[in-house]
Amino acid sequence: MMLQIKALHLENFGPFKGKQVIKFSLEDGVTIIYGENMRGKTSLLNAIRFVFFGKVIGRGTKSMPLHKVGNWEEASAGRHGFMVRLDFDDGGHNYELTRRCVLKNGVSSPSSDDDYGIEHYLKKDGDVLGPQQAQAELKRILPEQISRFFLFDGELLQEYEDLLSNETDMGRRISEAIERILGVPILTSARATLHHLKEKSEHREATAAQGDQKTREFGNQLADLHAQRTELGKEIERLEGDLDKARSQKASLEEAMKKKERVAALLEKRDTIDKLLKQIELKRIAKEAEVQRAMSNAWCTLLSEPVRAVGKSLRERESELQTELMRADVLKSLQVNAGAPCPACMQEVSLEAQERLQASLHCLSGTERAKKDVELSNLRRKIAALQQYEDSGHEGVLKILWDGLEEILIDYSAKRSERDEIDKQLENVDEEALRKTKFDFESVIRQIDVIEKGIAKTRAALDENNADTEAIQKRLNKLSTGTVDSERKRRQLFSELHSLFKEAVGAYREQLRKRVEADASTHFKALTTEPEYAGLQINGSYGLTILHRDGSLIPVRSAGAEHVVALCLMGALQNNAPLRGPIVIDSPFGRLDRNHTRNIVRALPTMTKQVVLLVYDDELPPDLARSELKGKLRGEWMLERVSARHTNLASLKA
Amino acid sequence: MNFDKKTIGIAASNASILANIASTGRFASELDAAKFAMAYAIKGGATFGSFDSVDTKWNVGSFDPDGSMRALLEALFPDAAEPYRLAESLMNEGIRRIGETLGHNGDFYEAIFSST
Amino acid sequence: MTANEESQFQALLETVERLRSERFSSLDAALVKEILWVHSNNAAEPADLSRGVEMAVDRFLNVEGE
Repeated sequence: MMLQIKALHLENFGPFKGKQVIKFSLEDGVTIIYGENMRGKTSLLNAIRFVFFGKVIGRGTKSMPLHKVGNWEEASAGRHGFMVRLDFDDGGHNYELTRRCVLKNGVSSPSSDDDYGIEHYLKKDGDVLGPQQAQAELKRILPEQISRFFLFDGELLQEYEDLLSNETDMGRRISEAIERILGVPILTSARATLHHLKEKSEHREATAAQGDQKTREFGNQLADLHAQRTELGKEIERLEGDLDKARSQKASLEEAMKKKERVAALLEKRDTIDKLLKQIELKRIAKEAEVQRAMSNAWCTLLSEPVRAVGKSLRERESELQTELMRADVLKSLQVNAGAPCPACMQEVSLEAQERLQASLHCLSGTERAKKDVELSNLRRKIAALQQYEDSGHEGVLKILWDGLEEILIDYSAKRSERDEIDKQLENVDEEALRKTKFDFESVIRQIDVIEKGIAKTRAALDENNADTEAIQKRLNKLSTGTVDSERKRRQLFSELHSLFKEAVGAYREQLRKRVEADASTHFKALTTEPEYAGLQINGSYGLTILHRDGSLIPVRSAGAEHVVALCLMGALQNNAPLRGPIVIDSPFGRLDRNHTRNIVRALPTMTKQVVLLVYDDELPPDLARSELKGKLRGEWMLERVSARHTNLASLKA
Repeated sequence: MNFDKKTIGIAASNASILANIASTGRFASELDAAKFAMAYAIKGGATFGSFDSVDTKWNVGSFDPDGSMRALLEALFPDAAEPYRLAESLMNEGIRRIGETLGHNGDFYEAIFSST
Repeated sequence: MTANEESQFQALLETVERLRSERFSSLDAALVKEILWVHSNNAAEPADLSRGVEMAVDRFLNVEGE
């Protein structure tokens, strides 16, 4: 007996305007619903999710707000809200599950989920069940955690990839969900109960020992140790709870950081550039000061040539004047010392010569002489003044300094543009949030470390406590009194039972994994087109890897291969679980080639009794489906477009 | 009696040009820039110009603390009776010329070095 | 219990029984089966489970004692 859906009633759900219904055959086989993209295939899957769990999924795995689910055309006509009803059989009973989303009183223009109320009820064999009973039934019929194995959305493959790694929070949750449907909780629950009763019986034994004088001391010690053990146990439980929370926080922060990796890289680059800009700025300031120092004397440098030219002519004039004055002196002395020999050659100067000299030489008068003296002294002063300007540096040096400064400025400008470019890219980014995420991530890692250390320490204390308890227990065992003996017997029984179930958990898990692996491999060999593949190998978290016939594992898979492997897992779980139900698949063949598609279509009816496929024509041509399924094709439906926001369900088969 | 100027000033039309030159960061002060402009004018062959209205900027004590500039000007321009007046006019002429070249050329370095 | 749940129970019992006979043969098979059966009720609270098992064990011990 298993869950079988009979009919899905929709009212204004997504593109399904008005009241529409799709009926499913009760005979084993496949129902195919054809529809182009955006016609409402995913909405059908969501309708089933909504009716069971009150949730609708949007892009990716995000929950979609319910106030956006109702039919848009109806909403623009002022009619808000929607309803889904699922008729199904389970365990020999028939059920009607209805869930309705209605506008709250007084609201006419809804804008959020708060404007709506949800009504739901479950009818079993015609009778409406009370809310608690209904909840219990639904939980039993289709627990949300494992609904992913029945409502299979080909687009959400990431979930299955998570199974390959137990490290991710999601991977752990999924493998827990799998174990839940495979019955492992029954054993783990028994283990937990027996553990609790074992401790309880130990406590009873200690109390009994306290009651008898012979055994009182041991009884007291045991009672103390038990009390301590209880406290340590509570502490570990608390710490493990904290660790769990911290780990899932870490997982979601990792997720957030991954998304923001590019942004983080940009921020880091920007910080680097900022540092560089500061350095360049310092260089600029220093260089500029150098240039300024040089430029304050540059005016001299500019003038050095003219100054040299003037200096040259001044010196020439100086030389002229000097000669003139010297000659005048010579003549004067000749005049004064008439008749005396020439002071230069010491020869006598004849009268004729004297007369000739007088005629040609200009005799400087006293005033004239004085003027020339002044002129000479002025000249010399000017020459001295010019001296300091004659060697005032070289323009070439200035050019080098200027070029140096120019280079620095260009460098700065280039880095500045780079930074502006980054700023543009970071325009809408919330840097604060990003830094906070990073900070939170680092602190949660530290937190995890602290908690893990705490757990280790507490476990060590617990081990010590157990050792001490055992030692005292041994000594108590040697003493015999009536009540203590019977309590001891009881305690020993619980202890053994606990050990048995503890081992059984491991053994059963191992068995299950092997069975799931074997079933999944069988399915896989029927579905794959690659002859060199030998089957599938399972890991600790029910992740499956393709096994080559030479024994090696094929680690990486295409999205298409992922589909195939996930389907095999679903088939294997259905084989081994007490929960059997319909598989509803949205776009199963989207990424597969014709051969794989053919194989899967043929194999689906063997995996479970009721299959519903949501496909588009190219994905699964109707001819192919009919020829492969033959008698197993129980129904064909079409999602017909009436308008962009209105789809009708139409049956193709009478 | 010395009729030479006791203060050096900048013509109103030159004030913004001088400020621009100083703001390039290449000169430590407007005074440095002004001296440079004066030398620029001299090198460019200017002799005397005429700028009637100037706004006083510096007194000659700050302009030529040791008198060496005066001596230089006297040496270069022996006919100038008032070296500081000459300095002032050459300076303003230099600023004007630099402003003109900057207007055409834009690049300060090119303007002052390539044309000399 | 549904048929599927029944077959799952059988599978669990097989595993536990095999272990019991191999390594915990001093434990009574019927008692072990009863404990397993108590826990196959998904809707039970932990307190109910404890009580159920305790009762089963005490009943067994009393019978043994007689």
